[in-house]
Amino acid sequence: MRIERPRLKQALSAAYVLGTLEGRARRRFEQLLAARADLREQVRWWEHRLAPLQDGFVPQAPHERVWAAIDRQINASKTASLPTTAERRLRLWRTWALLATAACAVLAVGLVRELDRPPPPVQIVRVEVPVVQPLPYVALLRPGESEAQWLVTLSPERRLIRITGAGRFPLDRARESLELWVLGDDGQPRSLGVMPADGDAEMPMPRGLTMPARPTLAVSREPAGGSPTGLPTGPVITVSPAQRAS
Amino acid sequence: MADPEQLARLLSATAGGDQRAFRHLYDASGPHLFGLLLRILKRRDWAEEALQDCFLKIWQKADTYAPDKGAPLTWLMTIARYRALDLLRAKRPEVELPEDGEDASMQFADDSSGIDPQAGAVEQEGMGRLAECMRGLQDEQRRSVLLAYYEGYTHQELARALNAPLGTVKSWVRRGLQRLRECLGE
Repeated sequence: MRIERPRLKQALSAAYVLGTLEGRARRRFEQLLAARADLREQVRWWEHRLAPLQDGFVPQAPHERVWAAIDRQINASKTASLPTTAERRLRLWRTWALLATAACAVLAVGLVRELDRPPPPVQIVRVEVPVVQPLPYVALLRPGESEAQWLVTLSPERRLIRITGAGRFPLDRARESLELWVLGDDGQPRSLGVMPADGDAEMPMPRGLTMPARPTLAVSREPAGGSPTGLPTGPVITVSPAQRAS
Repeated sequence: MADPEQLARLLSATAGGDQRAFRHLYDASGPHLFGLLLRILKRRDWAEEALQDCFLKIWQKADTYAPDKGAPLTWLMTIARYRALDLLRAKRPEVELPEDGEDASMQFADDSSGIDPQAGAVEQEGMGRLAECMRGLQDEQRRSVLLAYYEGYTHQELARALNAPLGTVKSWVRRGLQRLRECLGE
């Protein structure tokens, strides 16, 4: 959606607040809102100006069962929604451990299947190999609690990592860096390098890195310049599987 | 109406994880949100579901409230209104008509069930500038904007309620908002 014209920006923001921006257009606008401060400002303007209409709604007491349901849910998720630094650190390791366990399970199932399978009959098959570059792996990384998002494209054949960023991730750049990791089939994180502070970047894939069969990407907060140990030391801010487009 | 300063304090305590403050916040603002949700969603079960969603969101996002986002109750009601619109669209999916399908809306013409219960709302006192600007709109423009606001009507539902072609209704809404913008100033 090209919405650089001020009038269009205003009209879309107004329709969004009123609710007459519908369906896919509404969803697209919401995505833009997450990335664009100028649109958020327009939306806020309208929310503020139309707010007096809220007086027209007549208050009604809700049934007590609504609170009971809310209470149940916040107590079920309390630790998840209010992590202390220590809990966050613990969860970081749990995340890695869980992912590693999941990867192992997948491997194990694959192995059992292999063992169960009767040996294939010998066949001679002519295979036509198209001479086209294979499609890259793609992952969309979206840390919660911030507007930032990164589209990461990995092209193992070209040994290239491409990052397209939108939004800013709040970070004290003098002291901290974001580091990109790939979680291998063995569950071990391997560094892909330090993420650019802003916007887009291309970087080479580290030497000797082989792409796992089911790569998962993650970003962690590290001291400036990246993890000193070669393993993630700070909290993981986002994790996502990378899919090979096919 | 709940006291804004007290609500702001409750919101900030909620952001710190204080469940008792959260319960007070719910008691003080819940009925306002529920009234809005009932009005837009029409069904009690949907309104209860939405109220629950809203307060779970408020529990998680209380720390994102800042005074520049408006009075606390305004902020809470805004969350509720967006939730109501989303839920309404999800529960009552509209048959999508092509942009130029103006004629199709005419078939609902005899189903038109009168208009706006609450158009008089803006004439209430205390709405000041907005009420003044609303009065400056043409009748159809004002009705369209108010029905969309209070009932969560889509363009199609507006066309049905106002017994007018879809394209006409769209331009009433668009022009109405445009004139409001001009009247309310930058």
